[in-house]
Amino acid sequence: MSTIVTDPVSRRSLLRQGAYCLAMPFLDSIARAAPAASVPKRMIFLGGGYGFTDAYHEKGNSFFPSETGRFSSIGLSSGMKLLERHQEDLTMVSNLTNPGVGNPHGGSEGYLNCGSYREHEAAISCDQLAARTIGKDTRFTSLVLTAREPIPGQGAGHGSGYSLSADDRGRSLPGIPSPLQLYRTLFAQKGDSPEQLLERLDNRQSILDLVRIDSSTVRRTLAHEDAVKLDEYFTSIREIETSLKREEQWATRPKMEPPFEEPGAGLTGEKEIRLMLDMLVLALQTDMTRIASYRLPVCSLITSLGINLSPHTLSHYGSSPSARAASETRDRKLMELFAWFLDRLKETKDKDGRRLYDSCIVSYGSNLRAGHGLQSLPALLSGGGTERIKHGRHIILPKENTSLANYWLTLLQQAGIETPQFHYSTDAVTELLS
Amino acid sequence: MSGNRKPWRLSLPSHMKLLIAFLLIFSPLAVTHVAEASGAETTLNSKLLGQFLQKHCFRCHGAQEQNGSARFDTLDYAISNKVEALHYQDVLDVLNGGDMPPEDEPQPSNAELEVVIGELTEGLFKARKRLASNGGKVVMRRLNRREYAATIRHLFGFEPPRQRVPPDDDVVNFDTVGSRQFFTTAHFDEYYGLAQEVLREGFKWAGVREAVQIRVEQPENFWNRSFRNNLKSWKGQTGKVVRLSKMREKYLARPMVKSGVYLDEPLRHLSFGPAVDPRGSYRIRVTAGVEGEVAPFRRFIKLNIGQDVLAILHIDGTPEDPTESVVEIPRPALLGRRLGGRVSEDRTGAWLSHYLNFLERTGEIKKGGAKSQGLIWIDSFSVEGPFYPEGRSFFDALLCPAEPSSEQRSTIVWSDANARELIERFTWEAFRRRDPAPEYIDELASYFQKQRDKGKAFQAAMVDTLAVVMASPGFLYLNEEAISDSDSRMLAPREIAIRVACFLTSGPPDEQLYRAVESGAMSNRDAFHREVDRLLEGPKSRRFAAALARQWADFTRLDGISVSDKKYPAYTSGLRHSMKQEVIAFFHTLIEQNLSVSNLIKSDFATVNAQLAVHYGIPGVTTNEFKPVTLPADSPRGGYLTQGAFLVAGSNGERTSPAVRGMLLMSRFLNSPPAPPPPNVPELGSDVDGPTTNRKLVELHQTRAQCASCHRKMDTIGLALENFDLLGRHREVEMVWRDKVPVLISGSMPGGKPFNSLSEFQATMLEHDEDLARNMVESLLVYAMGRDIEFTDELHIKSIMTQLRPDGFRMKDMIHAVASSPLFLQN
Repeated sequence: MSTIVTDPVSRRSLLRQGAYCLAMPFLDSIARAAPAASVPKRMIFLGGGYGFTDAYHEKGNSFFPSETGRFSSIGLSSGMKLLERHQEDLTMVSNLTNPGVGNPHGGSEGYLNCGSYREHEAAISCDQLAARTIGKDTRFTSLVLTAREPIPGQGAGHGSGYSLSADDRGRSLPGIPSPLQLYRTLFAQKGDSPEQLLERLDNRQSILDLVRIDSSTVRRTLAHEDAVKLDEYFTSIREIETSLKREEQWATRPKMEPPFEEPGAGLTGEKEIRLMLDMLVLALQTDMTRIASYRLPVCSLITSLGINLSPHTLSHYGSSPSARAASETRDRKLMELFAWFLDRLKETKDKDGRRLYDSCIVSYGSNLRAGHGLQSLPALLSGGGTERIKHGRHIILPKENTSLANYWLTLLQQAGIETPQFHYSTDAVTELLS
Repeated sequence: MSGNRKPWRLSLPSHMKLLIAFLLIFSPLAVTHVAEASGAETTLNSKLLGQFLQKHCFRCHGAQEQNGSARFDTLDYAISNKVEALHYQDVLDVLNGGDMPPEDEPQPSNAELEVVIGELTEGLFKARKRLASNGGKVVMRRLNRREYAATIRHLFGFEPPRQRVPPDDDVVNFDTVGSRQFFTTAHFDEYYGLAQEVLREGFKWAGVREAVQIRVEQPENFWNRSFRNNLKSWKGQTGKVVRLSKMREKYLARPMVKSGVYLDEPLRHLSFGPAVDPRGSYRIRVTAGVEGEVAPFRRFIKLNIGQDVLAILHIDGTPEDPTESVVEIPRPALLGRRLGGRVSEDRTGAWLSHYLNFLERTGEIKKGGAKSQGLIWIDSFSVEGPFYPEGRSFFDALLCPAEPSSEQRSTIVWSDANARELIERFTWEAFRRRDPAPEYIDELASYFQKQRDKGKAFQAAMVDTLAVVMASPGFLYLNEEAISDSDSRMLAPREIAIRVACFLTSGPPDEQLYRAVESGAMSNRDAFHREVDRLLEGPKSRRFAAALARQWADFTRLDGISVSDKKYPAYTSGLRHSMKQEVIAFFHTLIEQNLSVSNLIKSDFATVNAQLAVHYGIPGVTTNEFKPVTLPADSPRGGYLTQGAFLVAGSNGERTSPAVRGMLLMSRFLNSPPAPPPPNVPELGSDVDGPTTNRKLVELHQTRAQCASCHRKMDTIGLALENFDLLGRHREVEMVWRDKVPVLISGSMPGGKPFNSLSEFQATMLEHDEDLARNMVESLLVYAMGRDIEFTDELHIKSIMTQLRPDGFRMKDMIHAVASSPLFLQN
């Protein structure tokens, strides 16, 4: 099977293997794991870095539509043009603002949990909340994907944090940072027989037991403030143990055989994003997970487009026409990738033969609209999993700076999670519902 | 808190505030009490703010109406907790965003707005700093990247590649500040995995001592032959190869192809990659010359190891009389890989012809000059080594106590019988000579035994066991014991030694420092200072200077500036490397020669290599090293202000940025960093029609009150350096489209003193040398202590300043003063 794609990098799409995968017998074993729920909802949150190119004083076009209405009548901006084939399956919402973020370089900071500098209020991100219910029966409760950017968070426009997701104390989750690591996470590796796996897990548990002995010794000698700091270490150990337990429960059910050869370690930019998304589609299709977040490497994407500007310089595109042109190139590329991802979801059938797209709720966005602007952030929505949201429109919410939490609440409710509130939310975004 | 003041209260969930953008509420029925108070209050200018609010806000947010549940007529203009700070932040955000007063209300004038925004911005900036205080306690931290690498070097004699070590999170000022570190599950796995690799490498080299070898490369043997072969095999073919054949024919027709290679198409660079012992240093020797006439800045070749520039070599000679240059590679940071490097001309552009064309187009070489430019010719290069440092590494000597030789490998003396002892001795050193709990060692030993029982080889089982040690808190964290004596708060001698070693060498104490702890020398004042001097001596001091300089001067900002190679073909990766080395060498000189910190403003020497000397126009420098050279009296150079690293960092990659230069000057030289840019202030965009001068652009910045409140100060002093272009070259005129417009230097300091030239500006800055000195003291303290400065540190900082003032704030004295300050020695 590993010969289906010999050079995964050069293949633009894994769609073809995706089709092969469908017919493969291993699916049965995966499918057994899933409960007999009617149609499972799936949620995917994409985002990252600085937003898009706005009009401001420039005479140039804005990425953002100014009119409200159906895309079929108001048309798509040149930045969004590549989404045209999906325009009936697309919703864009204006006037949302993340109330928890004040950092003008923090496009991904507290994005899914609406809180960062108000530390005392920071809490779990909406994908992780969804994972608790929707994800509890799959091999991975959720997939948190991210990327190692060549320059640190502030410069890349992400702000602090490792990914879009946060745990129940508001701490950023580390995330899977490369196609190679995602590959090794998802697919069966050599020596992955249940016995070997259990032994490895047991070994890992022994290591954790060992470091815990030293941690306790160190802790006894520390001043109170330092002991609090060491709790981070303890917590991470506990979290690894939790995941070990889960792996143990799944140890007897083999992982999927790798559908293509192991990707190289140094992939960046567009290739990296396509491969990550391809594997994500595979993970969703085979029901390894139903929840995912992905902080896209916009920084290395820019480099892979041949743009010799740092993301921060690019975000101040007002300074020169060439920077603005480059900024628009980035916008188009991101939308091209987003459109391609939607293609993949539409082409791929789940185990019951339905389009994967029909059960998905796909969100794309960032805290930053453009430049240093945190108000009216970019919010794109697609997927057939939102029964009460009829796509195809641009909606300008009547209230400026409507909380992003209201939006997440709406999506959570659409996914069937019965929660009356999500952090700062005041109400669901009723304008979205029909 | 004043007696009649009511606390802020919230009647709605606090998160609603921003939803309606303006939700300051002041209801007596509120329930949420604000209990936190750090004892430090930041007061705002009540008169100024009060007048403004009364005039523009009270009507809707006062006693009669509280639109949006916000009320301002009962404020006391003091910030004493985080929630209050948030409320004032909301007011500021709304003013910055231009959301209030509403459009149909009378608008404040720009001047009014500028003052009010300025006051709120600065007040909040100060308040946030105060509120972040935790009483001066140094929060425990784990080893940062730098320290982790140095610790591995101490234990094993080699370093892991930097990018393999988990990165430092969110470095705001210095990488030592523990409160900004986090530890996640990914960290644990990365540290454990890296430790396994390091240990395998350690076992691989234990007891090995290689003989010095010289590997000489005659690059023409490979390259020129392969070009000839290309020609043969392409003979008679058509299409693309015709062009490629012509290129090779032209190349092979050059005079010296028999004995060397030309750095010209089709050859871009030469590679070398010998297998090496990562514990040794290597010497690279390059013999090269320049054929024909070249622009002075083209006489440089670049030596790379991976992506990193290792050295820039000046080529003085000709193919007939070539220059031989020698470079030392100090222990390459590798793990199980070969040493991969490149020799190339230091230039931009994919091919030489592109580069030359760009140079011609931008006027760096004269019109038509691209065709007549000469070439660099390489005769040979060689790699020689390894040269081992004195003494063997801890791990090597532990595993194989007998001295090895190049003929005789020393063997590992450990076996299953005494494995427990090996584990214990390793752990003790890895834990910076703290005794591990016996139970811990017992469990490690039984873990090792379990691995052996499973059939693992001795070495593999030991790697897995010792890797546990290197992922334990006793190794990863700089853990200091709680101080029981609350009066003195003085650290124990061992912990002082670790702090001093981390401060000055980035790593654990060396043998001699540990011995000083044991002999009680750490509590003897003179002996303590002797230790500090010793650690600052020799090659180690350069490492310290580098760690300090790269953070004080913020090389990350410099690296983030992308300069277009079409517009500025002269900005090569080698030049950027040289610019950084200049700053490091400058700091090193200040420390080594114990010079005043005011040299950063103006010095009579520069620390440049031949490449920078050409770039700056300093005559007579031909060395590849960065050594202090005395400057001519009329030179505009001298001081960090005039160095490329600062001037390029103070640009946006397209033109100089007086705003950024001004911001850097205020932060470092006036010790008064402006508040970070606020969110939601719209981009200025290019409001201007057609090209204009930098000064005009900057003035535009100030037409908007939201910008002017901070930018007026920053921009004015930043403009004082307009005599230096984006790349830090001196200029009298500025190119505006195709016109040369004379640069005008005229402005005044925040405080009022005017200046009309660079030297007048420097003279004014020298009057502020106290501010710079204070900034350096604070920087050293943050770097050394691993925490931010708090207002409670004031007394100690003042005493350091008093101590240094009589001698004019000398750098080495400053390091001693910081190292012996109670701030550093207590917790």
